[in-house]
Amino acid sequence: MPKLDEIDLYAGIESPLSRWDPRVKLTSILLLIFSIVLLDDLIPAALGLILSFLIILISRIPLNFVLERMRWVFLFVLFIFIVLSITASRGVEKGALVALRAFSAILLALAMLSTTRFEQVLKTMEKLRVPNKLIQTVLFTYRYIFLLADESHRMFTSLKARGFRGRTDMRTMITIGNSIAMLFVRSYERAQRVYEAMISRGYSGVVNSLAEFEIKNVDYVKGIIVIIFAVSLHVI
Amino acid sequence: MPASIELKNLGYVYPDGTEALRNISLRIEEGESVAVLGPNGAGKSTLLLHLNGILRGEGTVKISGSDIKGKETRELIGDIGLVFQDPDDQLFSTTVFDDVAFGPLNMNLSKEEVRGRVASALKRAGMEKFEDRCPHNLSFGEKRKVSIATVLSMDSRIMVFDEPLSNLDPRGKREIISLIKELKREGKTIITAIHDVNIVPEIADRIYVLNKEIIGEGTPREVFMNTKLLSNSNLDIPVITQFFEVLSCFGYDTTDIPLSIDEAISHLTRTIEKDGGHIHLHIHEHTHKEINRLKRRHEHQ
Repeated sequence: MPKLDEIDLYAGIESPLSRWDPRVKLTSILLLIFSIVLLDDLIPAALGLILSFLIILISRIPLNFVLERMRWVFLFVLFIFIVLSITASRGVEKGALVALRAFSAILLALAMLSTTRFEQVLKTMEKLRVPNKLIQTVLFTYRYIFLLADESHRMFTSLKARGFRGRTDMRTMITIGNSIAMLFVRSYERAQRVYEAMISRGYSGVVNSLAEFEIKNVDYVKGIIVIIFAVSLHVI
Repeated sequence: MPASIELKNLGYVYPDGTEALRNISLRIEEGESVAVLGPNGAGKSTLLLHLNGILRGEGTVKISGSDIKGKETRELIGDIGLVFQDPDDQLFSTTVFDDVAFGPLNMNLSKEEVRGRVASALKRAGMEKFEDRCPHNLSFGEKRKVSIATVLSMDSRIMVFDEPLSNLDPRGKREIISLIKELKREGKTIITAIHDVNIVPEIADRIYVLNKEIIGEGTPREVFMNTKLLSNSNLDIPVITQFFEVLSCFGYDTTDIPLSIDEAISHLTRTIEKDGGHIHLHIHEHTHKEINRLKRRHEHQ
């Protein structure tokens, strides 16, 4: 069964990244991501990838976790690389550029998000004035996707307990179709009840929290270092 | 003094045309604790959702004398706090703290006030060490207690509980029962939709029996002694009361029959003292007949 903790698995690891104020961390690393993604030359992009990898090392996130996350990105990028190198002029160079940018962006996003507790990410979004509707969408997805996963898990367990085996026939299709439809109905009803419960506690369309972050000088220093790198990649 | 809650001719029909509530009139005084009993599908939850205006049917709902018509639910949260049956419906935040703070934050209180309320609500619910936990990872009993804390933190004058004991283990039940009793002692008005009749005499001063309409009303004693009402509404009487009915077949005097363990203890003590240090039970010629009649009656219910 999926556990909610997985998403915050490495948020507790002590590192300069996890100690970093999330607001400064998210803004400066996002800047670095944009900077790398906008690079047009191979050499700065390669430097960008090396930099991203260094940041991963500093974050102390276990490398096999990182590699596992990269696997799917790798397949995806490989596909683009092959297509580009066959079809485009100077395709190998373009493909390599796409690959370097993609890997850097994923590494940095991992470093940024895995070292921050999810609730902190949401609160940071709130502090950074991200539209509240968007924050709520992320919040509810996060909170209820696991509940939905539990529910579907239970449903399929009960199907199995009654002798259901997945085959490639019509009956299997119908059974699975019905189960999924049932999940939709239940989610709809749950959404209704969650909304009613929120209204009962004074919900008026905005979810606020009492988040308070304290930015220290060292947080700014880290941010400035990252931004200097982001700028210098374009200068060299 | 106006009633804490007053309903007049309340009726509600679901959008699909099913009638849920019919002609409900009731009056609950300030500081009273009332249980709403009734079979599944009797409209208990539907009734509770009318109290703070989430559902709005025909008829009037008055809270402390003023009609809630034209008032938003969020204007009523200081008056009435509703604890939903399923904690997963109630708890939506990423941390317990945020969830308990949600109501107070919507009341525009100061940060210190919100923090204070969260701390004391969690303490009362026995969950003070869980502030940073994610609600999803709690046990069902813990989720239920946090749900209650999310409403306690609003400090509403009226507390409404929808099946607060469902799916709990015995210890979880005891904790919730003593919390409800404590709230009652503090003078809160309490309304509880509940299945377990054994608990009712402990927490409620008065009972409404609901089956789409109000089919009975009275103190726990009045309701549990009303044989006709009980069999019409498929209600049980508390197990301890059933046991004293059995005793009466063996010649025990069951005037003022006990409805709870506490009452049973004082009833037995009184009888023993009156009879010179012991209880007298015996089998007489009608005992078996009476027991059979009793069994039949409870099986029918």
